[in-house]
Amino acid sequence: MGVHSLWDIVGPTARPVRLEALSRKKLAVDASIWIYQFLKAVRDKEGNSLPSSHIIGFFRRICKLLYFGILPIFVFDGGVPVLKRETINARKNRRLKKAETTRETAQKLLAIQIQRQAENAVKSQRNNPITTRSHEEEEEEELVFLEDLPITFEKRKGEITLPDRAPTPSSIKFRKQDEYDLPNLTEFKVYKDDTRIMPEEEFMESYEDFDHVDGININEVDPKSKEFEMLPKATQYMILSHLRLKSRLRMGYQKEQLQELFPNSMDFSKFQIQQVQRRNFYTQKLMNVAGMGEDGNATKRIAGDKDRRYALVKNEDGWTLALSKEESSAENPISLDDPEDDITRDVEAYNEVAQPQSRSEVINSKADSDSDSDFEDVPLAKAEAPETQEEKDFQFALVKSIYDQYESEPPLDHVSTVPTSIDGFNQEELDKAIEESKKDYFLSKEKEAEMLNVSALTGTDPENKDDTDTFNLDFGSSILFSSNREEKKKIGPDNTNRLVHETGTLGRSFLFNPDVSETGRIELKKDQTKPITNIIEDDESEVVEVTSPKEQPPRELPSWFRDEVQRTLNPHNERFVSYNAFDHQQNKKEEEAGLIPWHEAKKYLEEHEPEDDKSDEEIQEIASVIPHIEKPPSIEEPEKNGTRKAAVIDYDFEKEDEDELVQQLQIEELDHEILKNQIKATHTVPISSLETRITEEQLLQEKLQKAKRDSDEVTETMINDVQELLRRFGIPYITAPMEAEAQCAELLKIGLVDGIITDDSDCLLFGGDHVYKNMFNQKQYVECYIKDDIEAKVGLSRDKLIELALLLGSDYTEGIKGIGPVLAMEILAEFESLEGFKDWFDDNTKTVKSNNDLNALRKSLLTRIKNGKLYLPDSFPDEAVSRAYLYPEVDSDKTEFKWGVPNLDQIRSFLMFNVDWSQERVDEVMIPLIRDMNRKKADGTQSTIGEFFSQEFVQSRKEVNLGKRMKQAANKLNKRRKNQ
Amino acid sequence: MLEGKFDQSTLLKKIVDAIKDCVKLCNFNCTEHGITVQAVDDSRVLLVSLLVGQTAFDDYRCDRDITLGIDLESFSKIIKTANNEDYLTLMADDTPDSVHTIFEDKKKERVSEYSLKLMNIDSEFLKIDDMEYDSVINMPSYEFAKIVRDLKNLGESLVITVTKDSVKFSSEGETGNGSVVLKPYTDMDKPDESVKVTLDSPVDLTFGSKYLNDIIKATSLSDVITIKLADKTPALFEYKLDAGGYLRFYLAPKFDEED
Repeated sequence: MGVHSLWDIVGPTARPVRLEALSRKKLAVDASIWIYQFLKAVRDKEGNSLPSSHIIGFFRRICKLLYFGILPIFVFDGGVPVLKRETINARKNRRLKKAETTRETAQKLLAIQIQRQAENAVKSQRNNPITTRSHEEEEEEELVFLEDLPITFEKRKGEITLPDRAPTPSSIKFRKQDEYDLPNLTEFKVYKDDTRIMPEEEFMESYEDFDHVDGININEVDPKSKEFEMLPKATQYMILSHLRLKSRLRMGYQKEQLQELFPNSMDFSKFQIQQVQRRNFYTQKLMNVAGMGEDGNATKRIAGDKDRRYALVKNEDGWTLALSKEESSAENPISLDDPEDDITRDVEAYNEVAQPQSRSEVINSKADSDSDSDFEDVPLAKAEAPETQEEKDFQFALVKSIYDQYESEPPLDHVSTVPTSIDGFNQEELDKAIEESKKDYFLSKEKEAEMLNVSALTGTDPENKDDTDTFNLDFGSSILFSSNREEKKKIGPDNTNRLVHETGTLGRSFLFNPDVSETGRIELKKDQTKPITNIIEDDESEVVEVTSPKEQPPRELPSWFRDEVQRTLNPHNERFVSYNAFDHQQNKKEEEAGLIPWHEAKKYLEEHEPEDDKSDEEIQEIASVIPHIEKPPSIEEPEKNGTRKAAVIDYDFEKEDEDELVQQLQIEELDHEILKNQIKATHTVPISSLETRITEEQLLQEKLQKAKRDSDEVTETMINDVQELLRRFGIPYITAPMEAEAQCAELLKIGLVDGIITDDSDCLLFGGDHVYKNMFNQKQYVECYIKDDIEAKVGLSRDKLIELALLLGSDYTEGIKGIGPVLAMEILAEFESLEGFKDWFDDNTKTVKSNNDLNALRKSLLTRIKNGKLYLPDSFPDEAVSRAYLYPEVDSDKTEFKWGVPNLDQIRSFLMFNVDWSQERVDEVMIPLIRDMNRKKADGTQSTIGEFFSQEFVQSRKEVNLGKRMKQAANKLNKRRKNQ
Repeated sequence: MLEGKFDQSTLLKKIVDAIKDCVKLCNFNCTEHGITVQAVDDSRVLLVSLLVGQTAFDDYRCDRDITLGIDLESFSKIIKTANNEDYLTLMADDTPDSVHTIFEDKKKERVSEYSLKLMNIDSEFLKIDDMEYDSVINMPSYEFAKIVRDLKNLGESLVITVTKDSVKFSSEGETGNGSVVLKPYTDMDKPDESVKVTLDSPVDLTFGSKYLNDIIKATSLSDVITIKLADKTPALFEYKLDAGGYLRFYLAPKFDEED
């Protein structure tokens, strides 16, 4: 806040003023940053911010002001000038970057290395056609169940030794050794074996360091955190994939150990579900992190580990997702079969690959174990949601229809749009993608309509019933559809369409998922973690598209619907439930806040072209899957606020400033105690004698008022709280059109106040005078800055101050990098104006000049320029900044302020309700304070000498304490000023 | 080099006693014409302005203007050690970091010397213009002191009302109220006992009793106090030093909230 280091420059000119001397002075209080100061700095013992810190903070400061007989006028910010917002953002970004650098460079280096290795691996894979044909998903699948398979292990072990993955008899050789080794092996080691192509040394490396990616312990990483997002993409990817894989493992426990840990098999199932959910979360994140297809007709890697490759392939119908170049084409897109099919196919693939008979057996048994495990989970799902045959049929029909759909059409029409939207709406890419998908879209729409018809009938369709036999329902789909069933029950048959569409969306989004074979599982996970509101959004918009307006559900539907589903799906997993619930709340809040009113969004969706519509949806979906990545809506909030409503601004505190603030406020707290005692000391009358008790009724009334005051925005509520407190103290307050400190300066200019209380040096640039700083420090003296003093002692007029801001940086400008307060002063003294400085800069950067006759300062500046340490942008000096300071948007209403009397009862009830103070605690301060004020009123207020005699501050003995260079610059400035 | 010798230590003792309760720290500005002090009390209501003229000293020389920042409490302890009749000499360098006080017994050959470290005191200098006052009261200083002492028991404020033919001091408090009225009176034998009122226009001013109580501590400096009053202006209470110089108090009045 304010001009950087300006206080350091003008500090020596400050006049110490006693608080007592400010009695009866009308002072404008720049309260704009108070709330933020309190929020940042007032903490309880555990370091948590207090919900009512702003009230307590304001209360203390108000008491102090009133005790010293000051007549305050509180000025709140009304808005943030564009210039300021830009500067703050720019600075924030820069600082984030800076914080990253050291660690990040190291990480980047590592990431590059890893990437290179991965690329090599892919290349080698490409050279080996056999490997590409295998279904890698299967390998992951098997991990979960490896506990029962020593044989499986042998096979893997054999492969470790073979970087090129070629099956050899050596695997047999290792069998015995494996039997010996088996008990000692850890789970992740097993997994590493699974990725068959891994070179041994890399394997060893990653084995040793599985928990560490780029030196980051993945167990300590929170993928939801912002810090995580700042990591390089490659690192993010690595961490996520590791985490995801980890979630599949049984945390290194043997079967027996697990049995001990989970004596109840139900518990183990729950644990497994939890892991599945977690894995889904990671999968989702992984998809976002992995770059997806862009332009060009060559294949583009979308995602995958080193041993798998998913690519977008362009064909005459648009884009298809292909596992590899060889395998997929327009004629042969990936078909989404039920897991059983997949497994069979996998087995087949393995049979092809693995020559030795023993090996295929292994795989078969593995496949068996897979399906076993699938079934293992089914009972749980069933137990949770017992199904009737009819419902089952219905589900199967749904599954069937979905699969039919995706079998019969190239499923990737949306895939192409999603990645681009993730990439930050790259317009070019988006357009291209849209074009590509246009055709497909209409095609798919037709299909959808068709499918709708089919699925509407599914409940009784005998044809689909037949499918039951062929379908081997797995755990995942049963859960999924039990949830659907749940929906169906609640919503009624009308909404079947929506359900189908939901499933459709899920299926589609699932398509980006590398784990193609895990259809059922992924769908399930998707369903569980995806914030349901978004599903509903999807549903609804699609419903609208399909033109069935009667089906539009009431707006409150989502909440119960979602809760219900949530409960059905995750009765055990509290974490995910609450996570979703939070999400839901946020969504609701957003709706309430009018941020994304649903009907508007719908309108928007309707109005837009279908393509956009589609991609929008997808974006929303993705964004909401990871809600913490999405910036909370509060950013938009300030813009939306009404003009004269006190604004909510995210103040940008430097770290040191913040620490300082915390310290200062702690001191202030002590100070307040002292003040309290001081106030009490002046009044020996026992407090309890005359008071009226606050009744329950009054507190209830307070509650009502509070509810009225409460708006949806948190900090706005705080401002309202504070303003209410001021009202009860009888203190006038205004909301500035824009910046509070500019308004303060204006109030002074039009003579409504005698001084300004602010710690923001910007105030001086707005033309403020008699600026009182450190009003709430414990110091005996308040610092008073007077315009004339600053001009006389350091030679800085308002214009020069603004020029200083341009050099040093302030809320309105970033300033020039590499210029500190001293150099800035010297530059001001050396050059007539900043324009002159700029001209000189241009002269010396564009032409080479002899620099013999230059003085020391110019020489040193020149060296800086040559070293690239000083650079003036073309726009320097920015006129807009000067204008912003010289002509701020202010209110020049000359109506005099009036001060009322504190209403003790109201203040009591306010504090008792909002801060949870006891009445005694409020009275402790308030009663003596009010008594004091009353006495002053009755007796008349004591005036002070300073009001009558003009002050002539003598500092004859004490020279203004400036540094040598600073002093020289100041003298030079002064001389020039006097000559003008 | 400052060297100022008082014939009797009493004068300085009285001066320091008179102001040390309202101003703890103050700068003694020494010029060739004498020593001046200007100081404002902590609550900035009462201003003390002291001039000890060159004539008040037996010997006085001050080559350069110097400022002595003195902690009056410590200084008071030092000069209290002197006998009333002792010579008192103040000495300081041109760039002093301490002030030396020397007491010499006039009869015995006894010399005591004290040195007090100086302080760097931030103080502002108020420019006090000569003002036109609505009314001027001359009265015996002890009389005024008694009135203030009596009335301050009643309330925190003392109202001075000057009309054409009388001066009324009144105070009002929770327990009751009281007033003292003085009429102009001339004592031919002892002019100091006279009460003299010069009035341009009636005055009604309220002052804080505790400040008046500080002022009357200077009573011993002079037999006569001159009170100059004007509406909405600090009142001037002046004690003239017989030897040359004065001790003035400017007291800011109290205002009603409405003003």
